[in-house]
Amino acid sequence: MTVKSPPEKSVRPPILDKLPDPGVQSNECPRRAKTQLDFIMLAIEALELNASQAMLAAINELGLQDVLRNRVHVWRLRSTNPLRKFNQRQPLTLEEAKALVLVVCHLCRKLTGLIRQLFLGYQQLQDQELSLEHHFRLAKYLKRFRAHFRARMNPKRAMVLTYSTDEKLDELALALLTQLLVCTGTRGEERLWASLFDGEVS
Amino acid sequence: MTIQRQYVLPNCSLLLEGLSTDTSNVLSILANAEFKIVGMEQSLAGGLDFFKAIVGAVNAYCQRLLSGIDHPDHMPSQSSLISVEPGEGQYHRLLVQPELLNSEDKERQPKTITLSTVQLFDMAEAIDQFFADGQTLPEFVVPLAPLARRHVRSQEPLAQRAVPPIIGVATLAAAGLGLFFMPIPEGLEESLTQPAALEETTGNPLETSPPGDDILPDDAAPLAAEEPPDVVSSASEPAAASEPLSAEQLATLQQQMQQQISGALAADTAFEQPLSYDISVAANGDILGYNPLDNASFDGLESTPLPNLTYIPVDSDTVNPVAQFNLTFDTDGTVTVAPQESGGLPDIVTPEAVVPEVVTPEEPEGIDEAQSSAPASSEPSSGTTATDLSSGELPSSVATDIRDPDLIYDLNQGLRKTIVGNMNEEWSGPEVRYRVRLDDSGQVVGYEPANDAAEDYVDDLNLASLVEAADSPHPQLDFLVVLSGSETVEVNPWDGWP
Repeated sequence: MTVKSPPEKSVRPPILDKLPDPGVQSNECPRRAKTQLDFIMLAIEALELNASQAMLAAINELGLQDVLRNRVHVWRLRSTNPLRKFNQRQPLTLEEAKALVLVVCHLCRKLTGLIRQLFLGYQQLQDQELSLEHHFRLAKYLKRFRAHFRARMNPKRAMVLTYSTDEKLDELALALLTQLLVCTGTRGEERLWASLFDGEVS
Repeated sequence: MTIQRQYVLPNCSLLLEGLSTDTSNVLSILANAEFKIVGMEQSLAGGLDFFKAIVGAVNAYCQRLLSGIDHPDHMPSQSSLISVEPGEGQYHRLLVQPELLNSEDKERQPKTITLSTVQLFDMAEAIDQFFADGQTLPEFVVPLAPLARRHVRSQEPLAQRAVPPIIGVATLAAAGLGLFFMPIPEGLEESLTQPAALEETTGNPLETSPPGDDILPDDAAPLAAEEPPDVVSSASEPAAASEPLSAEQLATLQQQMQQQISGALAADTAFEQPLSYDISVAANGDILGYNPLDNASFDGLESTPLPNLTYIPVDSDTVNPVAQFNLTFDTDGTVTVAPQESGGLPDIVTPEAVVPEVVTPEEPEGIDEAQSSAPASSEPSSGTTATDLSSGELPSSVATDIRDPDLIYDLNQGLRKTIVGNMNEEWSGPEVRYRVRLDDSGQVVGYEPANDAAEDYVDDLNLASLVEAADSPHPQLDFLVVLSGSETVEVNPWDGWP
């Protein structure tokens, strides 16, 4: 007779302890944090074609399967972004947010070369006063980001409305690229994590 | 022994020089920190203060890049030694106070260095690598923490934030001012006056109407508490509108009614006996209510087109009757519509011949000329139900009525005993109702039958013998006496208990 082993106790991945608790009252992430995390992941998707697969691989590498269980779960967490068309009105817990931060920074580090290359190109364009379309790779990134953004964000939201033009969206894409660069740093996780709660702690 | 630590990145390198306090190789006293930025001739060098300031500013600025919220640590201010500001496009401006720098030329102006994003990031990365290095300044820790709420200035200036509430209040004020000058809609005015009029008719006619007025409360309201009324009106029969119609309008409306009812009546309809009703009519010709004037009319109601023709308004306040007509169906199906006084009250008493509920045996002095002269008095049913009563004359209103609840109670009980004691023991018959008026000493001033059957039993009950003070100057009150069989005698104040 087979004896069933007791159900596996979900062990909290120790890697999450790398990030301190931010000192907010609830166990939920503030609204801006949900938006910011989703936007950063949107930028990663615009940089890398196979980003969702890479994200799942990163989850496995970091041992975060218990927190981010599968592709659908990750999608649901990203959909907590209130600006999304198919917004899931559910909370994003601190633990889930920590896991997402770790995954994002892991992906960013893998993209360090590309991100730096884009910045050098951007710098050259700016110095020569050329428009952004003159850098092939950068233009591709911007175009993909605009397409992703418009496909997924709810155009009825006031904040999404402020990004209605290509120029505004390009500005947002470049700001996100800067954030990705910061995330590649040695303390990228800590910086991103702390920034999610800016203005939310007392 | 001088220890040097160098953190090299593609666009920026950080060189730290210092001493160790013991034999270990840990750099614990910082002597000099130097940032060399690729593409810039001059390096940024300074002591511990410089290093602390630049670490704080760069860290805070990186957090600002991520969250978009300004940190006080990197914002230029009076006290800040080093600040970082966003510049054009992907450039950032680093402002350094001259006293921090180990520089030969003593400038007074702050040194401004423009850094590209990558240069700035490499600077931050060099600092991060220094923090990750446990062998260098291990006690120098700058935690990365979220910005407290109090430091966050609202992204919109106060003037902009104040705009929506100001617009709201201004709009409300403008709307209020505009509507102030608008006339009150006419329908509204009517509906506002309506309840008062209704109350006057149904509430307590004896109290409110002046002496000599002939309004008798055959309306259902005062009786509703005791017995279902024998007078059934349709869903609503509101009081007539306050504005009387002109004679032409009334004539038109009368004609319209005649046609409408005749048209709705089947051609070969015949009635066993003439039926007569009061109908109240709206200005557009809708029949709003009807009131059978005798029992035969009530019983024959279903054979008339009235129930189908009646328009029941959704909100009785919105449609007001403007005219009242007497409607008579003759036995051969002829329809006669005769005007009542327009603007009259809905339950105005038509001449006594057709109102069996309220029989005033002699011509009441207070009856309205308009009604006594109404054509309805010449109806075929005239006189069929009139009964000559030797006693029971009862002026329809009381000069001074009794208001003391205790006295009313006593009178009520006394009257009941009197009636029970006075009636024949074996008496039995249908339900009969009387109106009996008492003065404040309990003497019967007068009585009158209040339904058809009551007239026939006046003698059986010896009511006439009860009348003691036919003309009492004292306060008086009417009571409703209902007898159904010898066992049941109910006595209540006519207008209900106070």
